[in-house]
Amino acid sequence: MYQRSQQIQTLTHNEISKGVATEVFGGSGSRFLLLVGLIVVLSFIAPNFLSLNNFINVFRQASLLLIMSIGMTLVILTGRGGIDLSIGSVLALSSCMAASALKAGLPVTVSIIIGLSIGALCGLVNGALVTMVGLPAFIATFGMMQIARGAVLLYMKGAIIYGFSPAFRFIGAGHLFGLPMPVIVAGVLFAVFTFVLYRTPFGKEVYAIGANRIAAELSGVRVNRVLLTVYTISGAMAACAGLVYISRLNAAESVIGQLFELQAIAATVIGGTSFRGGEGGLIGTIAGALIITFLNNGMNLLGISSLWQLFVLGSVIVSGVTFDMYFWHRSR
Amino acid sequence: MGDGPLLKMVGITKEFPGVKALKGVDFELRAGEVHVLVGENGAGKSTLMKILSGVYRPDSGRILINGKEVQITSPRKAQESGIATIYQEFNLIPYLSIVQNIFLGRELMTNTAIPRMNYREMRVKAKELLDSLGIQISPDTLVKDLSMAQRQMIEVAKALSLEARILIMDEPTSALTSREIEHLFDIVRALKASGMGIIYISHRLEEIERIGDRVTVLRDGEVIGTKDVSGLSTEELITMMVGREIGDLFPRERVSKGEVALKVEHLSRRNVVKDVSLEVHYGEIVGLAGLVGSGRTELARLIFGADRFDHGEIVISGRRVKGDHNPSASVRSGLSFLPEDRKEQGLCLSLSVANNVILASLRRLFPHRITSPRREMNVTLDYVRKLRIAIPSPFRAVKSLSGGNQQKVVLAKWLCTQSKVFIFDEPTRGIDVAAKAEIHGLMNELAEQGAAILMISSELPEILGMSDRIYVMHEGRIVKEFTRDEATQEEILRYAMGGVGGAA
Amino acid sequence: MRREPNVSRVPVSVRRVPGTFYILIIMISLASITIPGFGTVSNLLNILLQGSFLAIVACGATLAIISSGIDLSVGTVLSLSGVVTGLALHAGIPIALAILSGVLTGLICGIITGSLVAFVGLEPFIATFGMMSMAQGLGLVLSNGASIPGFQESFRWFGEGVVWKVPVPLIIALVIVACIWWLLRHTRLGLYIYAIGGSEEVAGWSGIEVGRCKLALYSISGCLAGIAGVLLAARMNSGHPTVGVGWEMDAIASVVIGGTPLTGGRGGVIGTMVGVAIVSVLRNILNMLRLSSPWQITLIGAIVVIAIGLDILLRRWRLALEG
Repeated sequence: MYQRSQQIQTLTHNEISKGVATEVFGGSGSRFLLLVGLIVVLSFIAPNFLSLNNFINVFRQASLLLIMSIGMTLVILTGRGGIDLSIGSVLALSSCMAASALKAGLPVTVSIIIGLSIGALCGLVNGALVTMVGLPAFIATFGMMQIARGAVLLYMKGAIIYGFSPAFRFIGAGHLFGLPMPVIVAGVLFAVFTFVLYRTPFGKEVYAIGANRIAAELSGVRVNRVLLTVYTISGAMAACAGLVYISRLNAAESVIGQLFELQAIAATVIGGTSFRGGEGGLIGTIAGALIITFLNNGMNLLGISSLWQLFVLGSVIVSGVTFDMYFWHRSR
Repeated sequence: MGDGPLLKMVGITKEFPGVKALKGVDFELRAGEVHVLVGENGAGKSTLMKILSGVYRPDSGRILINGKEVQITSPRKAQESGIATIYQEFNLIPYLSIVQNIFLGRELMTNTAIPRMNYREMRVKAKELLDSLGIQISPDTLVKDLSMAQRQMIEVAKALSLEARILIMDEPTSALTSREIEHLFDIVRALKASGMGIIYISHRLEEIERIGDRVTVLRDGEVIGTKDVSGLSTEELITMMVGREIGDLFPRERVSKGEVALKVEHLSRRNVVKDVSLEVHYGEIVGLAGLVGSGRTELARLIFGADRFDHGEIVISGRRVKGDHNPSASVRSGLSFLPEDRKEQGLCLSLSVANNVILASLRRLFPHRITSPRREMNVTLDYVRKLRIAIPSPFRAVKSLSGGNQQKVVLAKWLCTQSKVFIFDEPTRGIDVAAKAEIHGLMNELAEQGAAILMISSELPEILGMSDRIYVMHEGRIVKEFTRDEATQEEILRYAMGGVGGAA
Repeated sequence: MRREPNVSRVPVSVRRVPGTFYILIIMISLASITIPGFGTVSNLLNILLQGSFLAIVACGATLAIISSGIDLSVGTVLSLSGVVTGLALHAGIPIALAILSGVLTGLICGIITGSLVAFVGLEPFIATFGMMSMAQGLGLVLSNGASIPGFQESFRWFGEGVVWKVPVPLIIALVIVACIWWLLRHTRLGLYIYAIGGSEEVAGWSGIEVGRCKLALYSISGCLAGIAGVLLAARMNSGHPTVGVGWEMDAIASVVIGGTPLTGGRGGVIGTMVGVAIVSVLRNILNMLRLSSPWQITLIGAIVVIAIGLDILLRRWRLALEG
């Protein structure tokens, strides 16, 4: 019994740091290896790949994807088929609404708040459908995907809103400390949510719900509240990505954001967050977002038709999960 | 028996990553005997049985049936070799009928040009089997509409239909009422008489005496010994299991009782819990006895707020529970609930020990909504030491621990909330004798320190040994309250079975 | 003390008319009264014809959902096989072979998802989700993003022809539905699909080869999507790479409305047909009302959510009432 097994008494500061680091970084080291491998391969086969401009470009695009994937990671972490298919449509709806607010002459901050609130609201509705009605997440968020897309199509009536004020354009096209703004926005959001996930009760509850929802509930975790928050965050993140996106494009129209959900899911899954819930985390998602973006970038540079993109994304998702099961998380 | 053994397992070894589960186990089963297999959790019983039923393959060793070596490579192969298993969790599919379940995997087909399943013939055969077991249910009944005991009988019928010569029963009585256990034992005796060999896994010592012919004790993946049950004392058996003497299974000290900690009045929920009133005082352990299905767990869930009640009132530590009763509110008002199924309801298996221990106390430990790893670890280690949980590191995932240690982690989670009122639902189910004694010790310690404990248990010795007062439930009502001195096993059973005065 | 158990003679699947059948009747009656032109024979026939394609696809989805899985790839596999058939026909391959190539495309997609689910151990959701984008991508690549129009008369017969005044796709759909019904009701595979949906573990312990059953059912689902794709290409006289977008949700909605819960283990193909009818009638009504495409997108999303949400809530309430 207990006498025969080792009995630990204390932990040193180092042991704690090491343990926490293992928890936060998990198995994401291998993802970064994969990323490095991809970069090495591309630098040999893709023309003009190894240039500062190209890398800045990739990081800018990856920032957008990372912002969306933060929300997606949280949602998938909650397990039981948690997923958000609506982020592409929500991105379009919220950023078009914000764009039209800007055009109506509202101040930039107010317009941004409008955009973010609409995204958060869509997420909240998703969360309510999942928690209160008990819909599977893919059904609820599919519905929201359709509804938000329909709504933005009806609202915009095919128009394009373009030419924003410099203040708004700064978010997507400006630079700060020599870095492109999207990278900074993504970096800040990433830091905030990594902190939230690993150093707040909320983050621990997200993991607990993913690992065992019933046990979490019977431990006094307010599961529905946490899930509502998670889906709301996902909606808000989509809106945030949308604002950065239209600011960079300097234009907004109703058809933007299509298939973004696929990219975010691929980034999250490749990053090692498991659909089983409670396994994986945000650090891996960075690697995932970069892998997906480099892949797209490499295909562009190699002159592969953009029609291949969907096929590649699908294969990446499937092979990512397969790889995950066989090489990284043997314990099942 | 004269002739050689029905089944012989020789030098079976099995290794899992990091664990040597079986180290050269020899096991033998004669025709017409009930061979009891005992051992604490993790001793290797279930691994051995899974090898026999084709779920795992051994790394080395031989299996002989009637002296002939067999290769059991799949569950189907096991069936063909005449081995049937009745698992602890039932091996039946709720939305299929009895016929479909009995013949699942071996359906009879018609001889027509396009073969189809021959339900007519299967139904006739199923009816014969059910009749032979004395069960009067239509074979077309869906399994979901059956009681636990009936389901078990269907399992036995299935084994009979397989013409199994070797039957493995894994804790078959854990979900049964006493009367149902009697019926089961009758059937086991009949099967035995027909020449079947039965391997019977149990944690209940009294069952071994009642039904077993021989007993084999496994410990740490090795056979400690095989003995005839007649002439074997309980003391001896326990010593074989744990490797050291245990003086008293239920050590307890008397404590003085304090204020009312938990008060339930006229609590009802539909047909499950009917007009229940009870009180638990600080410093007191109150037992809640009753048969499985009498509404004990349901009552506990109502008190904890996991389900809603229709009528009645709950007062926890002097605070009246309002309409929005839920687990979260209960935890905050200092109530703890250890559910009976720790893997499904008590633990986040893939998370670390530390994250499990602090899960219910996040708000208390970190009022500023920011956690600190140092604090988490210190708190966790406090309880790891206090409960003597054997783990190499608090970062280790809970799923890698043994059953007893897992249960201690659940306990640590609730101790960590510093609550004063506890509901324990089957606190020692499925854990080994030594861990059981430790948990009983801890409960006594808690009560001494002034905690109020409501303990649900199916084991009457546990109820009698631990409780200061005992409530007995029958069909959703509390039908009797005993003091410690009045209660006897027979009396409790009589009330639990509705034998006296109780509800109609 | 013991409840008298319900006695049901027939195994699980097809006993009662689903309650949704009455909703269908009410919908049709209301629509015929309020919408001019809805109640005409030609329109009703049109609904049946439209429904045929969905019915074929939904049969596959029913199998997947009963096994407590899901098949999200049916819509894009349908598109892909239409594209493949179109390319084959344009390449001058004989009709029979062209049709075969389309059906085989579906079958191969199904075999791939099936293997991913059965032998790699991926969750059906993620495996078929991946196949969904792979098939869509492949369809776009093969067709270069454009539709492949104009087929010979004899091929178009499969989409437009009539036998005794009954449209050919409807006949094929009825045959397929009958086959799937037989499969679920009278064959081992059918029973095993229910068993796997009820409890995969138990099914495995009973000696059922769970992996092979899953492979079989996803292959059937893919194959059916392939057949539907070929028929739809014949009907529309073109293979279009995005024609199947959203069909998976129509199929899933049909299955759930038809009384097979997403948790699996019970339900059946007859109920799904009621679901298919409801979805087809709804689509038809939206068309008759001449709603613009954005409105249709919005409404379909809302209807899927409401229909499946109601199903879940009703089950929960019934459970609560039973106590």
